[in-house]
Formats: sequence, C-alpha cells, structure tokens
Amino acid sequence: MDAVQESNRPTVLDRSSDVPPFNARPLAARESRDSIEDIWGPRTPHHGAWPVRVDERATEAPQRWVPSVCVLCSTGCGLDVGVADGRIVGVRGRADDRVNHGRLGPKGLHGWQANASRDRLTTPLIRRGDRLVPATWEDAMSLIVERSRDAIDRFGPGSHGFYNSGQLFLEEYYTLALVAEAGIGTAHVDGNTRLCTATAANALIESFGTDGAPGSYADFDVTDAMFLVGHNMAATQTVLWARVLDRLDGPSPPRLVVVDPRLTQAARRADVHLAPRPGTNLPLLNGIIRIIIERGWIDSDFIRDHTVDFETLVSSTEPWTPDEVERVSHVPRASLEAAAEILGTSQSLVSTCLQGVYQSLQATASAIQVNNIHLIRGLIGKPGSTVFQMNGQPTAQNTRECGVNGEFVAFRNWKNPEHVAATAKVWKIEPSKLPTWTPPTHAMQMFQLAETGSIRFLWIIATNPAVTLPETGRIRRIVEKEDLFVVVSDAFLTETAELADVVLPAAIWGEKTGCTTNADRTVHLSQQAVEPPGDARSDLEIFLDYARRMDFRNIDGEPLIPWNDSEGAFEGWKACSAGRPCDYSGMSYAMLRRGPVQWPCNAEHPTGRERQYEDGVFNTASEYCETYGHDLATGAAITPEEYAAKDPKGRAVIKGAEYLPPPEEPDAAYPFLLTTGRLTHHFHTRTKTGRASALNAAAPTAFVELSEADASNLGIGEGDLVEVRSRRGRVRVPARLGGIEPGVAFIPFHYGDAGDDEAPTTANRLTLTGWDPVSKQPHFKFAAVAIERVGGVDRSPAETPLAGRARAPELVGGGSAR
Amino acid sequence: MSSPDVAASLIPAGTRRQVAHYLRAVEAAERELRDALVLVAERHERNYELSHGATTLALWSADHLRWLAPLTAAYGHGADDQAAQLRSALLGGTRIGAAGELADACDLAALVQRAEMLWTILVQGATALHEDGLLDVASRARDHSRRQLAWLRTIVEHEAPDAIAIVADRSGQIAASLPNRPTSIGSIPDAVWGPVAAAVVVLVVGVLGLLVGLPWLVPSLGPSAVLIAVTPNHPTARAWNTVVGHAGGVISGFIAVALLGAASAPTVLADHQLVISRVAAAVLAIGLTVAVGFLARAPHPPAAATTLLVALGSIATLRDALIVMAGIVLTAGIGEVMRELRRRRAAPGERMAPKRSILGQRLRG
Repeated sequence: MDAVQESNRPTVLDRSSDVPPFNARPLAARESRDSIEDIWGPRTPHHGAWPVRVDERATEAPQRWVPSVCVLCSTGCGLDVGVADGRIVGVRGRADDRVNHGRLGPKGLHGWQANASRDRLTTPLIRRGDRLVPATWEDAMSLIVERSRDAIDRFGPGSHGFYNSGQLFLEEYYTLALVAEAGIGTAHVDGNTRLCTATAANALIESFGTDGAPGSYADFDVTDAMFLVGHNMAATQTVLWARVLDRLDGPSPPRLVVVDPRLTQAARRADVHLAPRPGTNLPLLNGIIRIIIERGWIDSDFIRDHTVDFETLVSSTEPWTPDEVERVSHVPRASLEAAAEILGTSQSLVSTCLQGVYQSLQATASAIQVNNIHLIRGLIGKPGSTVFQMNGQPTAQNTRECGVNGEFVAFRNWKNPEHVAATAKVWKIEPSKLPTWTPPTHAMQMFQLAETGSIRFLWIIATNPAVTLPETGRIRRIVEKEDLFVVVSDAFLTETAELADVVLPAAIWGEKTGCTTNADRTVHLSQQAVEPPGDARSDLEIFLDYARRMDFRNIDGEPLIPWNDSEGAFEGWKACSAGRPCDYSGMSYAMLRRGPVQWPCNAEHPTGRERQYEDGVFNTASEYCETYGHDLATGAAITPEEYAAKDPKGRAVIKGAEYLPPPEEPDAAYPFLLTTGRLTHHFHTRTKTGRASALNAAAPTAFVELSEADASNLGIGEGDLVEVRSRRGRVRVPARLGGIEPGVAFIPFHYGDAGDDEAPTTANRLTLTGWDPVSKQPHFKFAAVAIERVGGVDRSPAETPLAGRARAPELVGGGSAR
Repeated sequence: MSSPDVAASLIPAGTRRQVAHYLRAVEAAERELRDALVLVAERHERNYELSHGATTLALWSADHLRWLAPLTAAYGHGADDQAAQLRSALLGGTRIGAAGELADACDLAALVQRAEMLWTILVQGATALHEDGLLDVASRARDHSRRQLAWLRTIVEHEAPDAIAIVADRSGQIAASLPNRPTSIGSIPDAVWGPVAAAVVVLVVGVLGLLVGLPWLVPSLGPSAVLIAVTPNHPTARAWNTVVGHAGGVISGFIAVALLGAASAPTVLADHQLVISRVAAAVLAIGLTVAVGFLARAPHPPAAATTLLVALGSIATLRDALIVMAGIVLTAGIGEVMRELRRRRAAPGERMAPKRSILGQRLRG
C-alpha cells in the first residue's frame, strides 16, 4: 500500500513540475477576450442600468451548460459551467444575473481548470508514522469517530475544534453548525473567514445591530461618489471594478476617493488618492469626519432621528486636525481636505472597505468610522448611498449566517436567552446543550488552545492555516503535535494536509450543489456539473456521515440532522433563519434555479429585498440585535444590562474611537513598514489559481515591491534577490520596483513554502502575531522589516511575459482575502 | 482641561489637604496598576489577547498619571503605601497556563477596583466642591477604570470554561507560557526566583565581606534578603525601609541599653544568661524600633532582629554598629538591583520597538 502512495502521491504546489510554461497554455476554443492581458474587458459606459456583456472561455465546445456562480472572490458572479463528456470545459457569464450582467474576471474564466488538476486528492489518507497512506472511507471515518469519541470521553466536548473556510456552501456550513454546536457542543468553531471578513461582520453589527450589507451593487450604477478604503477593487473584485470603470467612463461619472498606501490601478483612477502610512487608517478617517462635522456637512435631522451617541464621535475626532493627521499618517492636508469635501458634499455615496482596513491596526474601529460617515450624512438605505463592508471569500457571508465563523446562527445573539431558546427549539435540543457560556472561540485562540492541550481533536476544512496564519512556524508545530488529532478535508494535499493525521478528499465547486451568498446578500444556487474525481466526497456528505456515525440525537431521540442532501439542508436553514434579518424562508431551490435572490426573502419580501434600512430603522433593538457591542479599544463586551439601559431601539449606533499606538514601529534595525496582499490572478494560497496554467504563469513567484528611492539607497535593482527580515522571521524573494510609497514594502501572501527554510517565501513568516480586539482579525498589513540585497537577478517576475515593470500595478493588489 | 491650580487656591487649606490625600492615593493606585498590567502583558506574551489588552489598559493608567501631575502640583504631593501593599499581596506565585492567566486577571481586577473607588470618591468630592478641572479628570479616569474592569471580566468569561472544563496538559501549558524571548524575569515563578534572589544577596554581601575582611554578614540581614527576594513589591522591601529600619533598630537598641543600664549586663547569646535589665532593654528597644519605623515611613520587620541584637548585648560597640550598618547598606543596594530586575517590566510592544516608540513614551511618560 505504501508503494502505491509513493508513485501516486500528490505533491504540494511549489514542488509540482507539471505546470506548463506560460506560452504552452492550452488555447481556448472559445474565448471572448484574453482576460490575463485584458483584465476588465471592453468598456460599456453607463449611468443607471448596467449593460450586458457576456464573457466566455471554453477549451472545447460544451455539450451542456449548468447554472452556477463563480467562487473566486466575494463578488458572486452568476455563470454557466460548460460540460463535455463529464468534464468541465469552460464557463460563460450569465447575462440575466443581477451581479455581473454576463461579465467574468480572469480568475473566474480560468480558475475552473483546477478541478481537473492531476494532483486532486482522490482517496482518503491516513498517517502511518511520517507518511500518509491511502485508505478506504470506512477506515478513515472509523478512525475519526474513534478518536473523536475518545477525546469527548476523556476531555469533554470542549476538546473539539472545527476550523472551516469561506469556500463551502451554505448547506455545508449549516450542517457543520449542527454537528459542532448541537452534536458535540463545542464553542471552538471558526472559519478562515476570521482572516478576511470578521471585521466586516463586526463593523456592521456594532453600527447597525446585525450583520448583512445595507445596500446593493446596483447602488454603484447611480451614485455620485465612491470611497474605496483599503480596497484594491481593480485587483480583488475585477468584475465590480469593471462596473466602476463603466461609470467613470460614462455620463455624469462619480467622483472617486481611494485610500491605499500603494499606487494601485484603482488609485490611478481616483480624483483624490490618499496614501497613509500603514496602520494609520483611524487617524485619517477621524480627520475626514472632523472636517465634515466642522464644515456642517452633516444631516442633523437624520442624526437626531436615526442614530445615538453622535457626541462620542465629536469628541473622538476632535484632536484630529488636518495637521495632526498629516503628522501621523503623512497624508497632505490639502489631499485630506479635498477628500473630505467630496465625501461631505456629494448627494449620494457608496463606500467600500476591504483588507486594507480589516487586516490593519484598529480594524473594527476604522471600519466603523466609514459607517459613521454615512450615518452622519444620512446617506444609507437609499439608491446610490450605502456602505459595503466587503467580504474576501465567495461564501464568507454564509459562514457568518450559519454561525460557524464566531457568530451565533442566523445572526442571533448568544447572550440573549430568548435567541438561544429559539435556536434550541428549531434544532430540537436542550438550550443548555448550546455552547453559549462563552463567545465562540476565534481562529487564533483555537490554535492556542490546541497548543496548550485544551483542544485534542481539530478538524480543518478547506483551508490552509500552515500558510495563512501569522507565525506559520508555530502553527506548523501545533498541527504536528503528538496529542492533537488533526483531520484535514481538502481537494488538494496542501501544506497543512501534509501534516494531518487523516486527510479526506473533498469535492469542490462544480462537483456538488449548494448556495452561496455574496457581499450584497445575493443568494445563488451553484449546481453540480460533473462528478468529483475518484472517491472524493462533498463536505456535506462527510459531515452527514460523521454525524450518523457519532449517532447525534435530538430531544425526541431522532437523528439530530434529519436531512440527507443539500436541498434538505436548505429547507432546514429556511426554518432556522425565519424571522431573522437573513431570512431565507421565502426561497426554494426551484426559485433559485430561476435566478439569484437577495435576502431577506419572506412573506413581506417575496422576491427578496434590494436594500435594507430604507426606513432608517436599524436592527439595534435590544431584543433583536446580534450582540450588545464591544469596547472598540479593548474588545470588552458590553453587558446586556448596559445595552438595555440605553436601548437604541432601532437607531444606528455611532461609535467614536481613539487612536492607539502601533504594536511595533520602524527603527534603525527594521526601518521599513511591510504590508501584504493579493494579486489579480491569484486567490488565497493558490490552491486553485496556482493550478490554472494561465493564472500561474501570469504571477508564478513571490516578490517584494519597493519604492525606487528605497531600492536605489539599498543598491537593489529590478529582479534582484532580497532578504526581508522582521523580528519574527525572514523571506527571500526578488525585488520589484515602483508603485509604492517610500518606507513601505509589499509582499503578496499567496506563496507558501511548505516550511522550507532554505527558500522562504511565505509572507506570514514576517507578520505580527496580533489581531483586532473586537473582530480578532490578524494584523497582516503592518510589520516593521529590514530589507537587504542578497543576490542578483534570479527568477525575476519580470521574466514572464506579462509581469513586466509596465504592467506591475495592474497585476498586484493591496486588498487580500484568505 | 481647565486649570486646576486656580480652582484649588479658592478652597480652604483643610479641604485641599483632604483632596490631596485622595489624589496621592489614586496616583499610587494607578502607578501600581500600570506596572502590574505591564507585568501581566510581558508574562503572558504568547497570549496576544491578554498581553495586548493589558498593554492598552496600561496606556490608560499611564495617561491618568499624566493627568494627575498638574492636580497634585496644585493640591499637594505626598506618598501612599497602601496601593503598594495591596499590589504586593497580588500577582505572585506560579502564573502559568490558563489558570495562571485567570489568577492574574482576578488580581488585576482588585487593583482596578481600588482605582475606580478612589476616582469615585474624587468625582463626588469635586462635584461637591465645584472643582471642574478635578471633576473632568476624575470622571474620564473613572470611565477608563470601568472599561478596564469590563475588559478583565470579558477575559475571564472567555478563558474560564477552558481553564476549568479541560484537563490541563501541563507541558503544553508551560510551553505556551514561555515568553517569546528568554529575558522575561517577570515570568519566573516566585518559587524559583525567591530562593535564587535571596541566595544571591547573601552571596554578594558575604564575598565582599571576605574580600574586605569585615564581618558584614550578620543574622538580621537574612530576613531583609528574604523580603527583597520574596516580596519585592512590598514597601517594607525598599532600600529606604531596609536602611532606615535597621538604623532605627540600632539607635533604639543603644538608647534602650543606655537608659536601662544594661550595658554591663551579661550578653545573652554568648553567656547564655538572661537578666532583668536585658529583658527591659529588649522591650523598650523593640517598641522604639517599630515607632521609629512608622514615624520615618520605613517599617521593616527585620530591624526588630537588629535592635534585639543590640539590646541583648551582641552588638555593643560603635564599631560593631558601623559594621552591621555597612552590611545592611550593602544588602539594600544589592536588593535594589534585584528588585528592579524583578519589578521593571516592558510591554511586548515596548520590547519590540524599544527606542523611543510612541507606545513606550506613552507608557513611561
């Protein structure tokens, strides 16, 4: 058996030799454009309705098209999957889809090729000594159940941790919620969405009472101004950026303000580009708000009728004069005032935040200030006026809805006994079984609990923490611990899976059916197009099998999880979500097969609701809200009594925030500030995009981006090998010059190195171990580093045809999501 | 902030003294709290949640000290040992793993609680006196105290279930508690630090005594070394208390011996004979020593041993007394070094960017 594995063993990406060089990429039989070259496609200028443009790419003629949705960012573009002879052969955008109107980006047009990758996992693997050997499902699941039971018997339900993803479908998350919270009864359930959208969720909850985007992508079509904060939309959400470009090139274009320390493609199109020092978003936003208040650009009636605690904002922004903002953030006074004027005077405004806010310092506090701009100007809940706390991953919204990302299921409040009882009733269990005695454990804490021996059984689902979490060395040591049983379900043998005790081959997008919900609450049904490879199974099947074997029962002695397929799970979720903001009760698979629907969808809104809060009534009433809120500086929970004492009763909560000193600062030894992020052509740790030849060829290796001034001081030329060191570790990558402020460096985080200390490329070797006190999202975008030339041009990124100097800004992105 | 010194001049001197009393009490409380928070931040450096939160809270206490400076200038300065005594009773022992974190959170809560109470007293007083500058500072600081307490409660709510419900993996807990850099003396358990520190004090005094050829190693130095090693935060372990305490003991002893005519009586420890005059001298000497300790704000229990050595005849000449005091001064000096090593901690952020960082400046003023 071992010998079989030797020859057949899937390899991790970095060592795979079967990725063809760029010019050998298979020619597409049908391709509407070369999206690697032409990322956003031809312009269709507009104001109002966004014209249709159908993008398509197929390597051979499909025999049939299966409706689905793209899952390579949070935009959520509707597409059809082309199938020939039981294989995926292409995709095309759906013209009637409200999200993309037919368009697709480079990741969507190419990423599906990973499904057919030769190194897909096709059989379960069990660790024997230092090797993973193939096993049957029966053997693998029996071992998992045996170890799971053993851990519960010896250490109780709190010995179990489930670390999931933003890549599964709603039905799978909901089933996992029942398995973990009602079946086992552990609070240790979180997703890698902690790394990308936890702040989005927390910012929405703190301001508006519950999670969920207030507005609609259609707001981009009519707005007068756009404010992109730490969101390199051009790279991370290419189809949405095409929508913005069409506005910018159309009649009555909106004015655009971009906050990004790098001169990204989005920043190049901005009317005002603010490039703050990393870690200074809060002073900058406080400065903008101070100007808006001082100049009287506020909507006093809206503030009086629809918000509470405006005074806290007045006092928290008071110290942030334009000069003080300039001193701390290095943003010139004139730029700040120009930006504030656009944001303070436009008739409508769409703001978006992404990782430049969420993964930087004081993340939740900063994201909330963007909400505050809308609240004090009364620009929310109407066409063209909304704030998007964006998501990084395609189904991040679903993890949050289903309560496997540190929230309580269906945006309920785990501190509210009535909400707990309602959940217990739907699930037919005793309320005391639900682990509501403590807030759900967040990802970073979960690994710490594994380190200290509290968690003995850790199930990692469709995510790669050995690359994506801070302090990767420590995470690898934890996953390798003798007394920790680690199960990994994934489609590929990732860096993390290599360290697991049991690896389960998972079916992925295209090979299973389920729902995804994007960042504007649009629910798509992604239908199965092909069979999974080998013995791979969907995560839903895996969870259901585990639940059956564990024999979880409800209060009536019936199986805890009554469904056997995704539609059954969806029906269960409808019942659970009824009456909550994310109400799916009016939807059905039949309805979703006809097209996407936005939640809430119920008797009141039978076809879904495009905008929330149109009446200025928010979800903040103490009996309805999702949490009672937190102290933005410390993360201390506000007690139910304190909240009830000043119950906002439907008015939005304005929260000011004070600036706190950064956890480390550049000094003589580490003079540069490092930020990390994502590239246009890749997603996460390249588990999929690295296996699509054209995407991989467009950005094959890691690099560090430096300003030309810094590079010349350090004697570094384009493509030279440089070592970047922080107080925690080092990487060696080629240099790429330009497009960034002096004193700041950028490294994309996609490139795992499987713990190879000889050729380290993982950006997270350098990053801080630290996270936001409220959202617990790590600070990936702030670290002091030293940079040194260690060699000449090696495998320069400029050697690939598309990654040359001239194109660099288009290829790299400041936003990121893991 | 309005100018407190103007307002203070308008109120009666007696009232001003009352306010000054509480100001110095709260100042001492905030100083101990700041240092305790920094200690906890360094000690649990690998638990980012705890360590970062404690640092943020320490910044607030440091701010309070800055806010207090103009007020104490206006109302009067002074010293207060009660906060230090409370602090000394807390945060000791072995603080490892989830149980250690919970214990530290409980102890911090006691210090925060004291500060919050004192600020409340000042809020009430300032309201009654219409002292707006004081009221502004006290109200804002009290708000911080309450937020500090709320954070500690949140930490306890998070950690308690795991700390209690799970069978601890001792080696895992210790591994997870090791500081990122091995320089964290604050992380060493009392049971390890105490014996080593006491031994080091005696070793240094003894070796120096050997080199110089003087009998600096006297019995009453022992308990002083133990205080320095085991309760470095207690006021009695300070150099001032050590030196002034023992000096008071020596002087009290000589006064008692002279007053009660015990100088010619047998030396109790050498002659193994107890006479009435020696008993009377001992009674007077110990009473005087404790009284001097209070008057000089230098209580130091080991001084009682010194005074008895004098009263019972073991230290009889000026030369003897000077040799004893030289040994004591040396002990106090080495003791300060050991106490500083144990007490002076740095928050993780300060340790990462030590050169004039914004964090360090705000923490240390």
